[in-house]
Amino acid sequence: MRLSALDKLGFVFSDVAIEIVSTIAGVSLATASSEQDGSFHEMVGAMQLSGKNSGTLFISAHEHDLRVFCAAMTGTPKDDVSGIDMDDALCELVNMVAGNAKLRLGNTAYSFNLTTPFLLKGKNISLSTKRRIPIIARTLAGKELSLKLKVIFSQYP
Amino acid sequence: MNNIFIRLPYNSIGQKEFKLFKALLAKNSGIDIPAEKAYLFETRLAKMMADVGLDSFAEFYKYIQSGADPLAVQKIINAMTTNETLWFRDAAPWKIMEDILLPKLIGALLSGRKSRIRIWCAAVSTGQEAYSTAMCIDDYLTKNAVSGVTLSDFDIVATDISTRVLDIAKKGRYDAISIQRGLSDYYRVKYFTKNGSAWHLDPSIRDTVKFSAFNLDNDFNHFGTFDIIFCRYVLIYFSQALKKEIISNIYGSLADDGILFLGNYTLYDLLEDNYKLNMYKDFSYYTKKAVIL
Amino acid sequence: MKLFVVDDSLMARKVIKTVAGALGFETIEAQDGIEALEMLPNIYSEISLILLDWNMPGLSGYDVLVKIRENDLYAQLPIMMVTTEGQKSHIVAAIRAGANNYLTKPFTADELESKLMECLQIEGDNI
Repeated sequence: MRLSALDKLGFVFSDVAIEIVSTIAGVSLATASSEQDGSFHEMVGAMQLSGKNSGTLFISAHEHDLRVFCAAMTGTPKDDVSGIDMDDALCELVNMVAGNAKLRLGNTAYSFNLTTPFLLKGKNISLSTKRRIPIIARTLAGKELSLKLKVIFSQYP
Repeated sequence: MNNIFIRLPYNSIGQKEFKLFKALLAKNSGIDIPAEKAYLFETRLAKMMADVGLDSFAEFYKYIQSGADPLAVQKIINAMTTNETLWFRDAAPWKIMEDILLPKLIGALLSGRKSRIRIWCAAVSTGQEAYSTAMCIDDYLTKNAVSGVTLSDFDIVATDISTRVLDIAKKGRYDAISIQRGLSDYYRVKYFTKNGSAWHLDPSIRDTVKFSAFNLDNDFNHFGTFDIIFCRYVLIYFSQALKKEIISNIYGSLADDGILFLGNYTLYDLLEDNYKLNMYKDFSYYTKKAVIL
Repeated sequence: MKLFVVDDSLMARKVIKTVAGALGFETIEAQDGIEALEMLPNIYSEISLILLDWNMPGLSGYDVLVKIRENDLYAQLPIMMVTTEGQKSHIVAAIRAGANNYLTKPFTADELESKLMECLQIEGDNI
């Protein structure tokens, strides 16, 4: 039952992310992997989820993929995309994924509130959790770019 | 994946109201909203509800049924339809046109076997598919120095159920974000002019396409027959029964030597009785079974 | 015509500016609600529509909306909320607080265009 709930949550978050990336950037992604993988790309957008359920949403991308994403999102040539643009785009993507997942999860047992998104940068960042709290992990990939999406809830209803 | 969560959010659209709106939308547009997408009614219709001062979906349903707003159902359809907007989506249909179809169709025009070539883009959204087709034909004719045939020998009919996107499509004007989704520099430079921040399509291309509102759930008879039909990435929104019906109706609207382009997914179980699956590299397209091209 | 875009996301402001620009609108930007309220007295007569994000640091878009509507000077200024908060309760609360329209993120360029036309009651190419 617990694994099934994880699969369902993983589906909601990854489906939301795929739809959002398609809408705002015209880029198609699909779930390439759902292995319990704690590794991140070098740019990580994150948001603490609060309220009835608390946890964290992470979305990571390689810098060169984020550049492609920003260019598609704004119609700007790739070379004109700045570091600030990419930082902001990743935060905004996390914001939208969290907001839309919140809407879908509504008043189910997995509802949560949003907080402010933030950014982590660095090489070889990885996530591990205590007390065997599972990580919902999905790799979303397409021809143009790939993202790693991870969600942890502090407890599962 | 069905029934993602055990129940719908209780303080928004209830199960009963969801079924009513689901049926209303299906009846008037054929669009099928599954239970796990019930939240779409909440997000997309809440503004309409607030505008008429109604709080509950039950009251809103009664309001729609009352006929107080004769445009209410169309507004709901406009709000509930979402549209992927890409130029030359998947690329292959237009490659097939250049490599296989246009040589044959131009030959038919020149020999007098056909007086016009008719093309239908069903579910055209903001126009990119129809305009991509017009540009492809015009470019082929000029590149190959074809004489005796011009773009005006082609009828391009473009329809969509959403009047909102058709209003945008008709203008042939696109912003910097929309213009770069799938459009090569070659086509952009050849067929668009930048005016301020907007890209304007050459009027000779824009005016070739005739846009109108049409519900694929309706009768196709008045359309006549087409040499090429695009019905791409729209059938996924319909129930199995309606998919089957539309595919059957398309059969009646397709010329005996006509070509059907669907989205790049397979619906072959619905097509296999009457259509032949053809492959061009990795891309599938359909012809009528009884006819050998 | 000028649009006042209030959003803490640089990319969201850029996207709106690009789409609005193609329709012939200029945009004025504010990065948060506090900045928006500081700018408003100097620009309100030039703007035709305010696009207001909901989730911003400091003052939320909803709070900015309420404050704008409290001021008679800005009473007629059309306001469209542009936000990820898509629950009916949020939408209804915003409309009741005086927002004229509502657009949820993510949105396509054509959705934004349609909403802008709707808010400004523009038809065809009469911009």
